[in-house]
Amino acid sequence: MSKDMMTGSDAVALGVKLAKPDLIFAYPITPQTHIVETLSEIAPSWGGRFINVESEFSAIASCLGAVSAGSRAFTATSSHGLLLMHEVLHWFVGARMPLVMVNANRAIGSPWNIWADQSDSLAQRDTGWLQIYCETCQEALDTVIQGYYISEKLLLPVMVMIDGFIISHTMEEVEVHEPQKVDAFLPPYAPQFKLDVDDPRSFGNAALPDDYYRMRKAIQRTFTSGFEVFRDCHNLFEDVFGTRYDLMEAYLCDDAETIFLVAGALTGTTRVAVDMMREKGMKVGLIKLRVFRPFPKHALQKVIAGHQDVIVLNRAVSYGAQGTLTQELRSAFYNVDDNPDIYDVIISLGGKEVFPEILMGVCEGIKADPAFKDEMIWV
Amino acid sequence: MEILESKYNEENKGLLHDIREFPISRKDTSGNQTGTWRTLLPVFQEGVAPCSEACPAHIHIPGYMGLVCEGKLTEALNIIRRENPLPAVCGRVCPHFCEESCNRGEFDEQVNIRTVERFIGDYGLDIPLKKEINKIRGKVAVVGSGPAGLSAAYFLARKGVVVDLYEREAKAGGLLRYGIPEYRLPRDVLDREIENIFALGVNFLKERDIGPEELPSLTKEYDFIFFSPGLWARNIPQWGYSGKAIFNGLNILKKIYKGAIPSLGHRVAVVGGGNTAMDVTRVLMRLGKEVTIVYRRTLAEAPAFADEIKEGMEEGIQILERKLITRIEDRIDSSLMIEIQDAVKERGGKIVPDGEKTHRVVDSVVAAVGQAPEMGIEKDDKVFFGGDFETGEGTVVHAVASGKRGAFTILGKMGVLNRDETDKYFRLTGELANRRIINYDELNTFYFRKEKRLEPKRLGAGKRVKDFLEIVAQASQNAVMAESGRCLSCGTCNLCGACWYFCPDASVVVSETGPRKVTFDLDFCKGCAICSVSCPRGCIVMEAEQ
Ligand SMILES: Cc1cc2nc3c(=O)[nH]c(=O)nc-3n(C[C@H](O)[C@H](O)[C@H](O)COP(=O)(O)OP(=O)(O)OC[C@H]3O[C@@H](n4cnc5c(N)ncnc54)[C@H](O)[C@@H]3O)c2cc1C
Ligand code: SF4
Repeated sequence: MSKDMMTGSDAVALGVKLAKPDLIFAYPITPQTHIVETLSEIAPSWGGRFINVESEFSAIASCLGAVSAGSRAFTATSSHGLLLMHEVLHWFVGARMPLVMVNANRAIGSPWNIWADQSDSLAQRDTGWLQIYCETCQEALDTVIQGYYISEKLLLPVMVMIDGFIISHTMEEVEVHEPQKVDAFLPPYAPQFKLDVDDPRSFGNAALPDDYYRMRKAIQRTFTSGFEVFRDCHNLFEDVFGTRYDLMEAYLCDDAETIFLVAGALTGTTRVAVDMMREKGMKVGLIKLRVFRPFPKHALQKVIAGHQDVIVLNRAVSYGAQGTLTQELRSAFYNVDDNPDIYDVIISLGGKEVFPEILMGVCEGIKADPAFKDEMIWV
Repeated sequence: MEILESKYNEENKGLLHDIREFPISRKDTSGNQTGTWRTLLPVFQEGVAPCSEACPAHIHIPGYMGLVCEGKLTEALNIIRRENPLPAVCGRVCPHFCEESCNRGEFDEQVNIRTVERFIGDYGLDIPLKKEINKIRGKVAVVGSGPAGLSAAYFLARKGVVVDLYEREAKAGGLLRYGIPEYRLPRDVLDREIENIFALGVNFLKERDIGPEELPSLTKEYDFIFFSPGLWARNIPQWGYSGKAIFNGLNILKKIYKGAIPSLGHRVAVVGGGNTAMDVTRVLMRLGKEVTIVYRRTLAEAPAFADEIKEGMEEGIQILERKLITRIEDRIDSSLMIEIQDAVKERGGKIVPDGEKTHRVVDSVVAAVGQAPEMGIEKDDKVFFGGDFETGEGTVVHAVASGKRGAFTILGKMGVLNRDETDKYFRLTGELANRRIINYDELNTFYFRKEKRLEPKRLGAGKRVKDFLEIVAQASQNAVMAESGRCLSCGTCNLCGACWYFCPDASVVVSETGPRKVTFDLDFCKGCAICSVSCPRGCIVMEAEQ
């Protein structure tokens, strides 16, 4: 085992290298560019091919073709690039094709803004992709590898989120896994169904309403049962690499009166804020929501039940309603007896800076005036 | 109603995927014969490249280009020889009508077909021509051993016909030997290409002047007669002068090539603007003369080949454009005084002298004012004409083509020709209606990138006017292979496989060996025409389904 300093982009590229996809199709976009730039250079090192396509639509559509023909594939994108893929994102799920795609979270125009928020990926909430949000460069690397494991078992595509610039462009110490270990963790892709000239079958052909309904139901069933695969994945990963991951992480929650719920790199800032508040004697904790789809409703219920307040830090808004994460959490506590007060905080859109002091201020504010719980709180 | 989440543990143990959950057909797709949806039928149909069409000999240019770029030089040579036994000659002196209509010219620059042809021609100088039939099949007399006669002799002898080739001069070649200068066509190249033809069994009968009076005895002796005596020096104007200092350009060239140095003096005026005028001027300059061309039009309008004019200009030819000589007089020192006036076009097109008279002193005047037939002979069903004699002043390749046409006609009359072969030849010559010329807009240029045309090295102008060394150098094999790779192969399938790649129904079958290069699986072809559109070279046409 060795360690190295690298950016989140390079950590992702390293994860891809270790997972050895046969084909990579990509179109560059800030802040994802470094990922595909590096991959374009190193793909031949494991016998992979990097194909620079003319748009994100082509990138994701080419991945669909590659995976249908039995290859392991990869792509990465961001923001407007992800939006351009939208149609094929749906198709991928219906086609039950596995893929790992990294999305460097970035705001959406207009006006132009290249900094981080989560509007791009959370807008893909209903496409049926699994979504995992990373806090560190190491987690980005590890999640890419885990992504293939999960995706190929569930036959559903996985989107791995890293915050634009905050992770993609920031260097951290990263543990570089030995290839043999990765091979032990991740078996080669051996699809049960693939395009085969010797056994020509029609993929995704017209389905009558009843068949369509049944196949859609099967997608939901896979999501539900998918938690088992996550558990297996996390256990095996711990066995092989010694690091534990889970659907979510509860930090100092046991005795907390107030819990922050957050996803992505903002978790790091919130951790510092929680430590600061603890020093001041405030009873606060934090839940890092790592896996957003499938939504770990039961796990969240278990951790949160009995606590007084949850402050949800949203980096995407469902306009005219609530922060996207808030909506999810509130619905998880509908009809649950022991439900907390859930505060809807909209924070850091388009890369707006967040300091621990700001988070402390939010916490003090809602304590001072519980009426905030019926408001959308823009800080 | 079923509540999935609460039950997932029992119901979904293990994740073996079931075909019922995966959007894939249960049966294979062979039952779904999508071919029944077709309203348009793809048909593999190669076409004729515009270069092949423009070439009077209709050489299958894309065919040999494809072979050259793969390094298959002998195969390429055989394709050229199917149509033309003189590629080393034509690779040097032919004006290359093919290049003028090369589609690539609309994309970047025309393929340098001439350079490739010359390379293959030179490569073939040591490779004997092949006889296709050995059995003797009749006897033909060919009169005149210029390119027309040589070509007729070749196409006849190849099929086993006994050919007697009559020539007035001591050596064969016609204007190739007695018109075109050595710096454009080295004589050893010419000799070797002629020797190859003779080696097929052509009897060369030199110094035999055949006039109309010989015709009756020839018709008795031979089954057919092919007449290609060319055109020779025409009577030249005298401009009111009766002395001996006016010469015929063609005769001067012939004399020089035979080794004599004509007594022209130092200062020579050449009259004319055709190839003879250019060649005689440049030859005399190489002999150290001071030459001035007097021409009644501008050089831009001159009938001489553009290359010749360009090279001549580089060599510094002096020219008086739009001028007419109106009078010539002897001077006491045996030089000549020529009187010159502007040439003006009258209404009706006639060119007449006008304006101020100027004078010049020269030692001789060489008139290069066109050629004329030397004898009158009647065509009949045993006597065929070819070359310049038949058509008036033409080019080497026109002569070659006429020799071929004559030979094919004779072979047809003899009943020796197999139908395929005539068809192949006459298809290109426009006598079969269904030929399809593949023009630029029928190509799909998506696949091609711009590349510079090959330009072979040439001797510098200052150097080359001192001797008769060949001006244009031979290109290297690598350069020629690369240049042939620029050919877009218009209308000729080169098995690139684009149709195969793009057919969404996997219904295209490309075969290197089959009788057709591309066939279609009509059980599944939906007739979408993607193959036809994706073909870079227009080889797949869509027809309405019956
Ligand atoms: C100076 C000059 C330069 C040219 N340059 C080019 C060029 O660069 N490229 C090009 O394509 N074309 C060129 N041409 C034209 C080209 O040479 C002719 O079109 C071509 O040679 C005609 O071929 P032919 O076989 O019909 O006749 P010719 O080449 O004229 O051959 C006729 C042959 O018949 C022989 N003959 C004549 N009468 C008799 C007889 N009674 N009995 C027996 N034999 C006889 C002659 O001696 C001669 O050998 C040029 C022409 C001239 C004059
Ligand atoms: S590109 Fe080739 S085939 Fe097409 S016109 Fe030019 S030489 Fe002929």
